[in-house]
Amino acid sequence: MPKLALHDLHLAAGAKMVFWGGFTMPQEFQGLVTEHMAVREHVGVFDVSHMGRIRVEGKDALPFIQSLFTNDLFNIAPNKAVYGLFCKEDGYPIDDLFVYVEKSTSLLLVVNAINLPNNLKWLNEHIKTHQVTITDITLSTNQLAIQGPLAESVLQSLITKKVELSQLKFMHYIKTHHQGHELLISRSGYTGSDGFEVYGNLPVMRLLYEALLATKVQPCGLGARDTLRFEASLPLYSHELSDHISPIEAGLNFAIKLNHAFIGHDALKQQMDQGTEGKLVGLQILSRGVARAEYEVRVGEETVGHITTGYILPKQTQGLAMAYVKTPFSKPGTKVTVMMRTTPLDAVVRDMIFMQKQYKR
Amino acid sequence: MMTNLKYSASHEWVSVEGDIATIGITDFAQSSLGSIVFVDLPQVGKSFDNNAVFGVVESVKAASDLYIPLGGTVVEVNSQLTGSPELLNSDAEKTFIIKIKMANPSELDALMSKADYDAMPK
Repeated sequence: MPKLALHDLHLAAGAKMVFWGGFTMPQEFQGLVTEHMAVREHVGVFDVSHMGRIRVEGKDALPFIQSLFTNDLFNIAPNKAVYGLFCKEDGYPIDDLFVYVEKSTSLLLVVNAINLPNNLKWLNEHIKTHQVTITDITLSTNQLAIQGPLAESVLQSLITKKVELSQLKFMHYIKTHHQGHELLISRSGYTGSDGFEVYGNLPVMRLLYEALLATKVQPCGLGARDTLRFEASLPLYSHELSDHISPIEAGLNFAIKLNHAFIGHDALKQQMDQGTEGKLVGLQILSRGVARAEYEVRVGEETVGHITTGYILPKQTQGLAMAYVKTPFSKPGTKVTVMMRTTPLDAVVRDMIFMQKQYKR
Repeated sequence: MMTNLKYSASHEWVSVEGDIATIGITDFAQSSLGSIVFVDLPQVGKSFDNNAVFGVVESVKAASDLYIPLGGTVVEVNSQLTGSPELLNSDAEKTFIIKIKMANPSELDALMSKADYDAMPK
């Protein structure tokens, strides 16, 4: 099984491994709850190098990606990272991704690991007359997410003082050098806490990871990554977004700008104008039990949807879930039943604001 | 009661008094599961064949089936676990999950000693 470049350091830090997204990945180090709380209260580091990284270069790089991307890449502030989606004509997603427009002729795309092959296929199918080259740089680069209220001070202590992280706002990035290598530092992440994602080549990222662990930053695995992104109600492709859950249904309207042409534009506009069959909602689980992905959601005898992700989060006693339900049952306050194996759990539809995000705007 | 615990390969422990077997999960199991948030207990009076799923223990990260290491009929469940599932994390081998009346005590012979369980590759 393919290993991450930092595999040996993870094992030395106590990682329990799991196979995910094409790699043997740390599931947890000192425990999911410890890691979750470290990110909320102090700082943790995730090796998210399994994420797909694609470099798109050439004269037409920006207009080419814009012709596929739901969000607006033309009208953005300099050094701003942009979240959006690639969708098919029918408005359903190929993937959700982050785009860094480093130059109009050089873009970095960060995509879901499981969708990397689909993204590459989708891009190559649509090049046509565009003058671009597409390079999968996943294996030649690494990506670390340093997350938590102490992320700024810890990362600042390790990099050049010429970069003032306190001046970097959420979803903005800066390029710098560290130990003679280039780094891209972005104030972003997928935890709902403040933090940074750092991109660089393998040698420099190894140095950075070693330095972070040496400063007692908690290493964190996929377990905590999922509880954190769930608590922040951030969608995960294959759960909250899929072939049958569109970005409109997932409530991602902010990432869809209809002021430009892109594949899926008309279908998404129609969904915005006319409503959708289903909708992603929050559920408060009132009975004891955990509503896990794929469990049926019922009203009376009728199946009205399914759980996309659910947990009893660290330090909580009551379950929470995100669920995809038919629109008539999506109103907050709607009483539903979640089928936990053979046991029905009482639940009520609510908003998806499980926490206030701690982004530095 | 805690002397002579026997162990299953699916990480349950058993102690026996007469024809009653007391069953819980091992310290290794609770440590692998992490923070336990819910235990799905069977009904008293329900019968299970050996190795059947008799309940589910859920940690934050996942739900794991509990396999009964001996066939029998449930005579008691630890209802404290309904309100305080975390007891399994604090002392798994002193916190029982169910007690059963054994259907076939000779099934005990297939279980492991502590030394054998500790030596088992996990």
